Amino acid sequence: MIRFYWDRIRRNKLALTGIILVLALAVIALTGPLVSRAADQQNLLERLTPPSARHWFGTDDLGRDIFSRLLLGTKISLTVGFVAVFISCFFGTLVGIVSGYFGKWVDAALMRAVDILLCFPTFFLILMVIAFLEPSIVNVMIVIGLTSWTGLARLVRAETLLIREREFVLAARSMGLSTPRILGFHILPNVIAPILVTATLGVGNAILMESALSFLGLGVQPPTPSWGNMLIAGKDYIYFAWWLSLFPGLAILLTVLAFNLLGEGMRDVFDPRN
Amino acid sequence: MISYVARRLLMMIPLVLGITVLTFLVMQLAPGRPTDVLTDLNVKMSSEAKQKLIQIYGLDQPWHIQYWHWVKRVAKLDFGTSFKDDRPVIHKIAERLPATLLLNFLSLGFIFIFALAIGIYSAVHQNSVFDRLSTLFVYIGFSAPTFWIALLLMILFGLKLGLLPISGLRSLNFDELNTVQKILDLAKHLTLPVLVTAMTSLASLSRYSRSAMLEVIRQDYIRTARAKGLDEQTVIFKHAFRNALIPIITLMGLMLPDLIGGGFIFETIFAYPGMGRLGYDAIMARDYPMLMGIGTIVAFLTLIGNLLADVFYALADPRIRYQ
Repeated sequence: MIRFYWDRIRRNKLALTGIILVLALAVIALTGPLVSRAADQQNLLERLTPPSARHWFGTDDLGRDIFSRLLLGTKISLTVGFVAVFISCFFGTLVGIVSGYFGKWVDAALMRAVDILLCFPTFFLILMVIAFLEPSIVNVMIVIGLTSWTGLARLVRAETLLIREREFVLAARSMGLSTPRILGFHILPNVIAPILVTATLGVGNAILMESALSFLGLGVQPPTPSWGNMLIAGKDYIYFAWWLSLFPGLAILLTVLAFNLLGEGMRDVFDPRN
Repeated sequence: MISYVARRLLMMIPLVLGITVLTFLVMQLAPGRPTDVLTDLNVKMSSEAKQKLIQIYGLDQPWHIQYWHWVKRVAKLDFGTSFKDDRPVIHKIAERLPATLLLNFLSLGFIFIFALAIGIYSAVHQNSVFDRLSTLFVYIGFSAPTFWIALLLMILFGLKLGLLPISGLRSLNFDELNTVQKILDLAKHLTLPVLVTAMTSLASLSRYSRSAMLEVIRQDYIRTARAKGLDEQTVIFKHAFRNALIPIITLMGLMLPDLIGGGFIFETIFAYPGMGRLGYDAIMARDYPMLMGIGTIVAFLTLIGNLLADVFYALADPRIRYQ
């Protein structure tokens, strides 16, 4: 089974590029803090120096090396992405499976709740909740996770509706298995493919949300480096220092692209029609 | 058709109620309840502001009375007065709404025209250079943080080339200009905001219309139309395009919340005098009445947008009307 999918992944250029990029990012996230801790020091004599051999991506308004801070930020962005996606997948899957399997009023109630949530722009909902709480990296992960599960819930529900009619579910039920067991061991494995695809695309999306929040000053708080809050300086010094804007954005673009490529590739790989 | 719209309107009632419940729940997160000891330590919250919150939302009442109170307020669109300048929230929103609607309508129009053009051309010329380039654009459009693109465009067009203004909606000497100059001035100020707000949706919609078109082109009735000897122009635009258009209309309705949500960041970057900027300022100043007002209005706008999308959908596809 794993061999089968691995063969398909190897032949899929999108998925392969995605995997390589994501692995590279993971390595950077794990080793970054070891390499560049010392370089994250202020040096007011070297404020806002353009890219050079000494500082590849230049320095920021406090004389800190941008390249090093980007490396440090990788860990933050990936953490936020994965934790937020874990939360949203948990709720999305739970609501979707329960809604699809039980049907009737449970389904009606849960799906109306989803409709109501969809009336609010996700980004605004996040902003509103963060405004009431204190901005911090933990709050950002929780709020992004709790507001971005609706799409997955709808998807899982639709899949569950199809699967619950199949004979093996009937067989499981007639064997007297408990409902949680049927949901967890008989339905869930059959909807796992779309969940994995959505989760992978979701990591990219969560990273974008985090960077936007941090850019507005409502996410990761300085001095902790995050690609989003590094762009604040880019905006403040927009007239003098383009490198403050260019490189953190490129880092976000590349990371999100990696997860999107992997997600799209996985969609092709899992698609039985191919 | 009328019965379809009526049914659609009835279905909105539980959603409207749901919106009041959700906003009510978010409001419960606000500091300022008399029992809340933690907020005494919150320096951002003066005791004066706290008293005002208690008074506006009746926070010293039991929760069911509080909720009823909130529903009545929403029904009258009375969201209290802003902490900042004591003006009624709804007046401040009404002042900013036209600018936001203008921006969003222009973006929607831009998205619709260009996404369809790109999508159709890519589908008809599948695997051509243009198709590959547009696929690349789509991937970048999905993955790039749009506020970063905004920064880069500001640096390029605003500062390096000096072609476009990078903030506001009008120049300082706007009142002295004649009508033509005024329109030109507005257009210049709107170019970057419209481009940036449209980007993400343009990427997804052009992708979507490409695959919708590809799907339709493979249908039997297209082969029939070609077999009849119709010219390619007629086949593509009269037979294929119309059928591909149907799912795209719904998708545009669903894009509305994201467009409005994006406003909170783009309007801030471009110092654009719209509702998003107002919302951002309210968040930074912890101006809760303002925030709750904007949240509710945004949700209602989304509802109306989705209703319009459904109506257009029904107009385009008779099968929907008679279900």
